[in-house]
Amino acid sequence: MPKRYSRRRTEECLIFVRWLFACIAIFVSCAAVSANAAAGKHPADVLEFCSGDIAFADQSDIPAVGWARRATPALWLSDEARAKLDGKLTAWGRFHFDRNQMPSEPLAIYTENNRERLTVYLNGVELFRNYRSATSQTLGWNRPYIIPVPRKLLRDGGNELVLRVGSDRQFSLGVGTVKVGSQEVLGRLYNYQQFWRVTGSAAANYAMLFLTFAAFLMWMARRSETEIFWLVMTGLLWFVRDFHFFAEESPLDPYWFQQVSYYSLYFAVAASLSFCVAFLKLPNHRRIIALLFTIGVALCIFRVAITSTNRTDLATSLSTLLVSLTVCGLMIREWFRNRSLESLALVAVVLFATILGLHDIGRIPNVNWWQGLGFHIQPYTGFLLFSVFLLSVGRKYLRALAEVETLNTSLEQRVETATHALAASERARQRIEVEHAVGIERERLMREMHDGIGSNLVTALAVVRKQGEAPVAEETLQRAITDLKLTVDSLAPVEGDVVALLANLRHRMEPDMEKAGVKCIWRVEPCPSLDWLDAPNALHMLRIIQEGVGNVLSHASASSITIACRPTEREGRDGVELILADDGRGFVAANVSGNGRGLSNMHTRASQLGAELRIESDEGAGSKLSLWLPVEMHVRKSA
Amino acid sequence: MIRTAIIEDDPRIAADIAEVIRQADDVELVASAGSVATGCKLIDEGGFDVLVCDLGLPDGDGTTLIRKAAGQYPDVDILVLTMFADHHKVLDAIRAGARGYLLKDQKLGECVAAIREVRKGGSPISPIIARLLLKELSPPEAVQTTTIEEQLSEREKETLHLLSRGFTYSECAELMGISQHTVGTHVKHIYRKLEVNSRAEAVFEASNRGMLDIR
Repeated sequence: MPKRYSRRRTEECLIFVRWLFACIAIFVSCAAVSANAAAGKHPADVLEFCSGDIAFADQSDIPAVGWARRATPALWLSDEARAKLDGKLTAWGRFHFDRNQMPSEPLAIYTENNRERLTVYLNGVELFRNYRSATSQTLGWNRPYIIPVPRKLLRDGGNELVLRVGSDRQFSLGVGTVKVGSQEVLGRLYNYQQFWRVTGSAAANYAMLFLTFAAFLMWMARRSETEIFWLVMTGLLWFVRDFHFFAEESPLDPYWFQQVSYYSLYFAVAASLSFCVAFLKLPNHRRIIALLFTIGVALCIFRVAITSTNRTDLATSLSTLLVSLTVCGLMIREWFRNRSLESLALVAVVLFATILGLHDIGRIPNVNWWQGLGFHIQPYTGFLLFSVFLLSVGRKYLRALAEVETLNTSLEQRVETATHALAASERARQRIEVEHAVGIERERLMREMHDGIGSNLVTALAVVRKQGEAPVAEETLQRAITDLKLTVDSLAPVEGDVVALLANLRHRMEPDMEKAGVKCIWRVEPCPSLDWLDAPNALHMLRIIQEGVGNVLSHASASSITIACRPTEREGRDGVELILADDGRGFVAANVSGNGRGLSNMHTRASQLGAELRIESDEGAGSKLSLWLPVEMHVRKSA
Repeated sequence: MIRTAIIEDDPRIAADIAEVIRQADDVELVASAGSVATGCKLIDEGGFDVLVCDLGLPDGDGTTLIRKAAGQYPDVDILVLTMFADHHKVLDAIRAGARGYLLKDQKLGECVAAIREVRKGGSPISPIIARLLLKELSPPEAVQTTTIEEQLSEREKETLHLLSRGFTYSECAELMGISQHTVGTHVKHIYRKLEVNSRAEAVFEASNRGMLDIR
């Protein structure tokens, strides 16, 4: 491939990478700006409880005893609850606030990160619950809730807010963040969290699922494209992994749903990295993919082995990030080797996904390094990876299409060139065939003339000359031989060179002119060749001039004859004019008697030739014959 | 005295030419033949300055005799007898080594004049033949082949050009500022170059086909 082409590819890659970075930047800044807007607008109007009373009691009424003060949110109560309770896990949180310290506008309670079933009481009255019945598999952990506070329920001084959280025994239990304050401010916070935690992630994941289906159909059509297979697997596994972020209830048995959600992560990561490896066709890509999935299985086993509880296993999560970084390293090496900026784009997106993964690990309740953006970004990580992969594949196919198009164009051009060449050679072949046929015919004619007519005429001429008694017979014989010579000349391959034909006529008739004592004045100018002047037309032309010269020699008593030939334009058409002029006694056309047939023959030949013939003469003023032949025959008159 | 030999199968024409030559003081007829076989013997015996040769002989082509004579006697001038002086036959004869042509319908007196002329160095040529020679010996740069051994000189090119435009020897001489005789000599040289080149071409063709090993 030429250099220019590879440069164009590089430029395309650069545009692609820039576009990718722009998208990521917009995404991050949007999240940051809206987080600031939601969290920091009216801090004074909202009360967040940093501590509260916690109690464990599997009952339906607010417990009277067993309360212990501790910091909130208390996200990880499952171990304690399992130790204290026998059946399902239930915990209570109790908070107090003074109505008078609250703004006078309508109030609301905001809470998030409660695991899993939630009931909210205000001053002993049940205000809200997020589940249908005690057996429904509600997933409350990632959902924000806002509960408007009825004005009637509020007491003037101290108010008591109680949260009841319940979950199945193998599940996690926790009392989340609780805020009370202006419904205006908390409503905005709720909208923000609801979007990023639920609506947005559901939209992104369902969109991804739809595109995955499309990619799957594509793969069904082209099974050999392994990168499309890995694209499908990436979309599918990330959807499975992300479903628990936005699902309202568990679709399966909650235990199995939890396991599927946990373990699918390793395979989603393995599938994503496999796509990168397959797309870039890294050396040994099959082995690398096999290794990635082996590591995935190993991490699962490792995790099962070290966690019989629901405790988050930090080591395997971090190992996942490490594997991603290793594959990034391979891709960077590939980039150093091939300088393909596509690998750089994939490195960028995988690195970014790794950073997002680290963000989420830090937000895990019992890791709790930071709160970050205030929600898990992971539901978007899969979507981001999938989108970039899809764009890469799309770009690759667009480029392939462009290449095919280029190929088609060049093929078409070559076909066209070949067609032209073929047509030209066909025309040449036909011309050669015609020339060949003319040549053969000419040979036959010549043999005929030589052996037959010609030698008989020559013998007869010799006999007549020897006897010297019949000058008319001698003349007639001589003219017959001259006619034959003209026919021979008309067959000569002179390529429409009028001057050469005319010159040969002069050469032939020179002895006659000498004999008649007529001096020939020769005036020829360079003339364009007449492509249409084939043998029959050349003979017409020669006959007209021969007849003209013959007339002058027999009747004009001229002392000189001027033969001229020059390029002349008539009615805007280029042409060649042949002129025959003598200084003889001239004639009046009406008086021409015996010669009349000769003149009309000349005109007939001229019209067959598509030429213009003019004969001018006057008594005592000589005569002038002009034959004009066009250079290009527009409308050929058929002879 | 110009010693002349004739190879012609038509006895009447042969006799007529012999008659005219006998009447001339400076030309004598030394031998005559009527076929390729007898012509070969005639050429082998030699002893002539000018050979007048017909092309259509009963037992073969006259050009083989012309080639043989030209090969054996470089100083002999060969005239080809032709009915119409058609370019095909004349060019073939010149390629074989002829230096001019006689028309069969020419007045017999002119026949002797032509023999004298060719001996003096001049050669007749028709405009069409001049044109074909110009095309063959002096093709445009792009078409030049390796087989052209002897290029035409500028003067020869000019001569051929004028002749192909229909100018007579005397007109050419006047236009070029040279004698009429020199024009004839130019033509003779041109004929020789065509002969040399056609021989070179034949060798080239033969070596190309592997018939000759030229190393």
